[in-house]
Amino acid sequence: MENKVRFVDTTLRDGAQSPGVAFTDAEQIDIVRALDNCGIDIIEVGIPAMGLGEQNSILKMKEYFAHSKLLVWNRIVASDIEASIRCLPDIIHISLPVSERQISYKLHKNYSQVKKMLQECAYKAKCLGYPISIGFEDASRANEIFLAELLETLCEFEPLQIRYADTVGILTPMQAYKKVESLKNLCPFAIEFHGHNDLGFALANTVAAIQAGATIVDTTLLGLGERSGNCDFVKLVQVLQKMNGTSISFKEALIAQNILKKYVSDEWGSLL
Amino acid sequence: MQITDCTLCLLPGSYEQESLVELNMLFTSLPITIEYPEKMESTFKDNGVLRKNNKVMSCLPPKIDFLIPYFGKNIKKHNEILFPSNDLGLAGAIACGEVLAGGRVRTSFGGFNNMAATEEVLVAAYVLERGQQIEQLKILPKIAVLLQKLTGMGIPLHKPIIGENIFMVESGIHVDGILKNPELYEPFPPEIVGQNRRIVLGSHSGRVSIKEKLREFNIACDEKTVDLLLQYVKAEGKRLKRHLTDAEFLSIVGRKYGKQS
Repeated sequence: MENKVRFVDTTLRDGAQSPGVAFTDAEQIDIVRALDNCGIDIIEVGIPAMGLGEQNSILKMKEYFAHSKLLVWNRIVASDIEASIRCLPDIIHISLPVSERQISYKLHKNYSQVKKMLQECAYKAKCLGYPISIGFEDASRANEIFLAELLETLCEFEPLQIRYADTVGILTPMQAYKKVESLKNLCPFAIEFHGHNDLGFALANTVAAIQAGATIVDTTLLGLGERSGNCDFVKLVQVLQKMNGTSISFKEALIAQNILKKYVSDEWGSLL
Repeated sequence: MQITDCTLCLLPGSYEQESLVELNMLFTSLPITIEYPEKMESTFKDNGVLRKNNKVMSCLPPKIDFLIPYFGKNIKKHNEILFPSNDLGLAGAIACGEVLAGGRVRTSFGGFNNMAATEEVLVAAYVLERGQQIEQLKILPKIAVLLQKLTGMGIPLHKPIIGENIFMVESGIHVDGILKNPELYEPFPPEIVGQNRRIVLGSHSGRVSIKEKLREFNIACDEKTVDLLLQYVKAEGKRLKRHLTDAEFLSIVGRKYGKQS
């Protein structure tokens, strides 16, 4: 098992997307400072394509990044990448739906169109000199042959990592293990696991993914996120400490969690 | 039955008989074994609903270094029941692994008392992994309501399976997807666990959400008004730090644009 698991915090992107959650610029800065202080590797701060307001908030946050890298979320749309560049990010994350149902019902496209859109966006970001990471949305319901095809296409763009997202949280830990293990055989890049808590397994799935070879994990403070939320950062740190250890200090993690607690309603307190 | 639910043993103090009988009736309709506290056994024997009381159980701390290799490799003997504790937040997953491997587990509703949650194991192991249809899962919210009434303990709004808000959608991108096809952003149809999907307005809303709400209330609006409403809704959601109620939205529509239905 990989000794050092790296963290991507997505409290300010996936977490902030959940109903009723909204942060002011000052609150976002507070959260960024706490996360940076924890030693989180990458902080996903938002979606620049949402508009000038979002872009300005991101620029304000950027000043408070001491160690962490700033990552911005993009669809496979050229204008998204252009909006992201205005935010001077460290990493441009390009996310694409990879399951047949998302590709056809949400985008009304087919496999080859999506692949082409991905190539164009990856090319654009790389040409402008930005490191990229790629997100496989709804990967847990996707066809593995298509994932293999995408990975082959991506070789020339050298993404830092591939995010395997269990977007609707339907994996059990056994499946998460098997899926990440088989992706590992196909994937020359680092694998990042993004779990959701719909069955109460976000944490267990993330642990399983690490055991199967994922070296990067996505978490949010308090497990904040759409529906039943994402993988809870503090809980994962606690588990990793009992496994092979982690460079993150539990104390610092708790401090960050307490800062978030101030800015969300009580309902996001700890689960039963 | 592979799942033994011990929620009834965990209820402290004395409760009105009526609620207990009702709770017991709900539990007995689920495909689980129910464990009763000794003092209640006679009560429910009279009601003819007593299930076998399991005395043998083993409490096993998870060996998390080997979470996955552990699953199914260590099934308890036929008269033993695995009883994972949730100290590390992994009880549900361990119980699910044991059930899938053919073993038996002891759980509680909602994971009450730091145990694996009965409803999580039911949905993950039976519905999703084995593809079974369990019609009775529709009563889960009723159990949740009754238990909250009996114990005064609150179930978090986003608790997996039984949380009231888990099928609530606010962000524009997800509302758009849900309207195109609910499967896009739902792990399973809300109806199978007795819930409903709800589209709400707030700081993450998109134009599509405003249009959908207006349609819901049969209000006609031009595109420009939709944009203005969206701006107002987003600002209001940000200010309130919660989603807007329908009444609040209608009052915005009425106040600002004289379009109240």
